[in-house]
Amino acid sequence: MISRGALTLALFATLLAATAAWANHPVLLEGNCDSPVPGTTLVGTGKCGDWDGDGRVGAAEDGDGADRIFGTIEAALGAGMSGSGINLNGTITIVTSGRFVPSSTVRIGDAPSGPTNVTIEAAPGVTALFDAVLQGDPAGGNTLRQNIAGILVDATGDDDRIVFRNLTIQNWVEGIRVTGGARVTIDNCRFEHNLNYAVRAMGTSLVIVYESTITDTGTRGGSGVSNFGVPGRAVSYEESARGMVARSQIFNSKADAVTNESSLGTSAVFHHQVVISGNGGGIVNATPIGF
Amino acid sequence: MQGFRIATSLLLLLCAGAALANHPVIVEGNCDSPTFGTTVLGVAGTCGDFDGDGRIGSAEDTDGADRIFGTLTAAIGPGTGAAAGTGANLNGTVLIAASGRFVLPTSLLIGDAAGPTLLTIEAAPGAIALIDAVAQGDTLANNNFRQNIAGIHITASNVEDRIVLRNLTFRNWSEAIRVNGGARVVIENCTFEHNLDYAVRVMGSAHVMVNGSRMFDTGSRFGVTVTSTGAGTAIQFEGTSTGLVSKTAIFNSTGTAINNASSNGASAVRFFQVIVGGNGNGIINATPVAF
Repeated sequence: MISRGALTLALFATLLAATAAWANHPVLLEGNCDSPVPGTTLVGTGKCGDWDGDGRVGAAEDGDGADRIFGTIEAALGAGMSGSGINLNGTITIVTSGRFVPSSTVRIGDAPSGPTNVTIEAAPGVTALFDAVLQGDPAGGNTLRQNIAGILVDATGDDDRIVFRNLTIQNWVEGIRVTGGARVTIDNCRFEHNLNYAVRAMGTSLVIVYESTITDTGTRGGSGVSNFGVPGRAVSYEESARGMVARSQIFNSKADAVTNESSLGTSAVFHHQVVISGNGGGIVNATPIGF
Repeated sequence: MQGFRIATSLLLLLCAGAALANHPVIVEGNCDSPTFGTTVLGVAGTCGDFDGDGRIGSAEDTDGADRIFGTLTAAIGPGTGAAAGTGANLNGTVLIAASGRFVLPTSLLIGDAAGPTLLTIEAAPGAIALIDAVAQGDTLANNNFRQNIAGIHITASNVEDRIVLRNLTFRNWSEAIRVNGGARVVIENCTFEHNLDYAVRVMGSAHVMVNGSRMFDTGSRFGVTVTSTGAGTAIQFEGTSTGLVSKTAIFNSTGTAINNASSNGASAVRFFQVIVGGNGNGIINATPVAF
């Protein structure tokens, strides 16, 4: 015979296990088709990016339960329902192709507890479009987004680690800006038509760009916004930033392919097997490394 | 005529039930939605359900002799229930055909088969196989247990044992892959992040080759109630082990990128086109090779 107290205790323990705010766990993120109209969140089951087959994408997927499957990048980065979001400590894997249109800059700051450890990646075979422009955006956010950075990493500690993998970032003023002290690895990403910078490393950050392709920085054809890139550099290291660009391609930037203006000098930035062509300038003030 | 029919039926039954060796099997993804451990889906063909029968996980493991499994543990075994005799049984290929989470109850043990252990575990191009120690929704005890052990533990003891791990993603283990037998192991195009002590630890007399892989942020992990301090070495060779690391990127390990502590000396471990950056130490006691 089980006592009522034991039953209550067991129920409490089950509830705790079900709702605990875990750290460093993975979550999944679905694609968005924005069809038939931008902002669509209810779709045919299994269609239009709906990986889990519940007929929801976007914001509707965010709030449908503590299933560790999200529809927007902002919600996946946050605490989520019952602690199911990564809360700046975990991995976000995008499992179906689609458009990801944040309302503003996606910010990755200091985690509420402990270091910021964030990986955002699209699965192989999936294209995750982080584009500033969404035709028909009912929120009217196209002008705002084209004048800001797509992703801002301002986590402050040297033990903060952020990885971006297999993402496509287009039409922002700055594709990714890093201003804190974090270590950021940009792996197998594609940048196109970002106006001023594709990647801008500042503060005391350490930023590595690996096996990525950066094309047409400084060239953008937006409507109702300035399309004059200043300076139109692909990768820029400033203040006390450091890092490396390796096994990457940089084509047709309006200005330099890689510029090192870090106060730490030439040895702050290394490059290895970087293919450049059609840029306004080459690789400036960085140190080549070989094998 | 009746005798002929009986003989034919018997032959067909034998073929259907025989425990064949060195055959391929398929593993589906897992979405763990709407709750952790979900095995029966609301909509067939979604949520990793490759064969469209509405089952994933352990329900897929035993639903028939279809050579399609839902867990890695079952797929590398002999198969049980209605799937008896259809598993790889440590001699065959395990192909992960759909993206998803693969939460192991404990280390995936690859030991000695009846003959040589000849096992390949690979995710198909376009699928992402997340082998993460942490699963939000599982119990604290289970999560902490996994974070303190190896993800895959290869103990196959003989030099003719051959194991290939391809296109897999490992996160949050104490050691993602430990090899301490005598096998020859190839780790190809795998991704390792936030493993605490080692991404790959080679012991015994094993020979391990790491090719085309990424190892980021080893030693940097922040779990709920587990230690966050570890060796932080991406690849470690010990005992009398030997190996090669080629065309691999190792970034931001808190310890060493490659450490060769094998008693066979510097010539036991070779490296070719390994990019290192942001690690506590670089490549120690290994020999560069050129081709």
